[in-house]
Amino acid sequence: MVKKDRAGIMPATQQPGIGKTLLLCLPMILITAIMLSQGQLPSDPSRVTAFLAAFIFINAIFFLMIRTGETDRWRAILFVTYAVCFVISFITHLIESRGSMAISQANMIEGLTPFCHIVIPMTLVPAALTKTIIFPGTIVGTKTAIASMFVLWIGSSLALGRGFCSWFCFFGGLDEGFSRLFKKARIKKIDLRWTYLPYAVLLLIVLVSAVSLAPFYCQWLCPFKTVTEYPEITSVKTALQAVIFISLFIALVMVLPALTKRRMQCGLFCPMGAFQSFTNKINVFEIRIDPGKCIQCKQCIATCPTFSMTEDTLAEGKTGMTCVKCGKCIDACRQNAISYHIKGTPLTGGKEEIYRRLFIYPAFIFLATMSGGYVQDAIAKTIKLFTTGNIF
Amino acid sequence: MMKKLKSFLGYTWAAAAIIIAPATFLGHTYFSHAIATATGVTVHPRFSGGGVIKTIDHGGYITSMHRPVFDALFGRTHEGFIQIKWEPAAALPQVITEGFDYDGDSRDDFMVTLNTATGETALTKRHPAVLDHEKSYRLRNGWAVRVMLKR
Amino acid sequence: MKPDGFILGLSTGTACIATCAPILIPYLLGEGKGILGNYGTLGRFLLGRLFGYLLFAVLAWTVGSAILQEPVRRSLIIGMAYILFSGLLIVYGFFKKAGASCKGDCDQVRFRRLSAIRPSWLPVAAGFATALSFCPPFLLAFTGAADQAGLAMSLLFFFSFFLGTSLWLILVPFIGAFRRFAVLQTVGKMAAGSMGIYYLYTGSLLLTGGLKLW
Ligand code: SF4
Ligand code: SF4
Repeated sequence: MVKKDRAGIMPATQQPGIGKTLLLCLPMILITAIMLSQGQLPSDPSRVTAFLAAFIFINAIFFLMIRTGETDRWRAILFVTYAVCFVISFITHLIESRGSMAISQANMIEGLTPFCHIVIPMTLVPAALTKTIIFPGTIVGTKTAIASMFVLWIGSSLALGRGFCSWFCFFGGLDEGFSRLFKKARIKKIDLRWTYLPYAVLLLIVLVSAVSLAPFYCQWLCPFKTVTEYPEITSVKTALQAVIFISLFIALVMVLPALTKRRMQCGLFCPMGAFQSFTNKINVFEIRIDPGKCIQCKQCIATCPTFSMTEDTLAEGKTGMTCVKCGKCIDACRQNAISYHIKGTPLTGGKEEIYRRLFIYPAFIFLATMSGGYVQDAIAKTIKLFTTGNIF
Repeated sequence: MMKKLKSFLGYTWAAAAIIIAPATFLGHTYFSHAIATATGVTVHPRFSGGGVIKTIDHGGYITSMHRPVFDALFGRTHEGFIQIKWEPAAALPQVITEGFDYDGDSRDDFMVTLNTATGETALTKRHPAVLDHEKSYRLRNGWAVRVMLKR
Repeated sequence: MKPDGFILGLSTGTACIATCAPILIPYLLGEGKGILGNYGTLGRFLLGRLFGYLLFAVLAWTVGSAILQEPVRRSLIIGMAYILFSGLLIVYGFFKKAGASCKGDCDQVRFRRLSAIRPSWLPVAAGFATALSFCPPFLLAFTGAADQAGLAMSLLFFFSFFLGTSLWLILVPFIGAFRRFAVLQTVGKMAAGSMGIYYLYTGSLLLTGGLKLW
């Protein structure tokens, strides 16, 4: 095996110097300053510290992305941190405001359930036919209201397609984190037939939710309920649901990703991911492989966390439509044969780095803004835990 | 020519993405209200309880009767429910007994007794369409009860 | 309409694409009548299926009312039937490679031979015949129909099942347009398999004397 030549990602001569890198980072520094502070600096000292820490951390990540030419290596750090901070922030907030992680039926009647993007596909058919949303939330008014989530989803889908799943989703980082736990994959052979399962799950939940007028995935199948909120256990049925949530979480988000080094929940189960794959068809950003440079080492096929690179797609010089645009294959290719690309623009001409930058600016704005609030909140709460002994 | 146009469109969308990203967050409140008013969607009455058709002011507290909910994807279901709500919590007597007429014939169709300390409820049926009651729900500022009905 | 029958049809109907379509497509393509003509054939095919189903609804009800009078025995037998057939559906959905079903293949061959003659009642007969193909979704529907309160309900259950499955077959005349038909088949079977898990749950609840999910 050839040792991976990191500088090979971008020839040293093409790497921007410190000055140019800083210049390229300046827009991001300004945007993140606005997004993270939401226009005003906090007054509480622990919040100020949290703001500064998050701000520096996020911009350091972007700096490294620009400077080294590597995308996934740095993205993954922020993406995983984001997911962990999301869980900390979300759970503590629930306990603070409702006294428990469990959501009661009274909470649901009052529309107090935060809306999550995974519900979106299930709401579409009933919304079209009955003009109602089948979810116990509120339409507008809070950050987690139904219309707010739709706006975020539409914006990110227009800008990133399924890049959504590696630059936006607050759950994806958990799966990804576990997939990076070990150096080597213990399970290597996975029947690719299972990559169709997310579409089957999507089909099923859309149909069943429409007919039963309730979000079926949320009621029965969501592994992430384990780390957010779940219905109060009041019957055999709710207990069974809790058992399903926890088992799915352990299997699909923890154990299997760790053993396979793949994002098993995102690649083989999540219906939102399947749904989001269709947005890749209309989005302009894609990943292309230059057949002239490719030596068929198939490193990309082995690395892709979502099974989006196969022998067939490689032969076509493209990825499958499930690609989450994480950039892992690009980082892994020693031949520099893989790159971000903008549909319609010429494939040759040495513009790869321009295409990449055009993609990572919007992508990173989404990641930074989505993660910013949660990272700050988690840091502030941790400081509080250490200084006062109480997280709330 | 075609190539140039395609390439131009590609770059335009890519540039638009850079604007869409911050705009999504900055214009977020505006856009979500715009979506809500443009589509006119509401939360399904199975969750929200449906619109209020009658309120009764008892001086200190208010009773709201929601509309009966039989909403299905197509047409209506055979069984549904009606939601009753009492607010504000602080002004409620310890035991409430109240009769309700939901079909508008000026005769009570059912009577609910609710103990606001324990949440215990009892239902007296006065109409064959009234089936049973679900449990009571302690809201942030009051109580709600759902009574099952058939059509 | 009965929602449970309809959902069963809708979700397992994806499997019908996998079994019925291979029989229908060669015929449709062989006729080469264009989409409108294809719909004429499909219509007759569906009619045949509906007959087949309704016949079985009557049978299911007869079985249900004849041997399943006593409630405990009833939920025991129906529960077991659910578990058995949903198990079959799960195996069929997830663990059987597409095209491995002999039933489909044999039918296909037989039908091809017949279709050389092409009388107009043939699609009706073919529809009737495929309705009686004892595939796992069908067996589940049979159990569901036997579990209904009366003959009318059994008929309605099978009718809803028919509607649900037919929605998928409406796509068939366009099938030429689907380049990736195999993908559709795989997704369809997996969706049907997942539905099997739900019925496994219903069956277990019946056996343990619990309530239905909806
Ligand atoms: S596949 Fe699902 S869980 Fe994974 S990142 Fe996408 S939406 Fe999130
Ligand atoms: S094909 Fe490449 S960019 Fe796409 S998901 Fe796989 S590793 Fe990530």
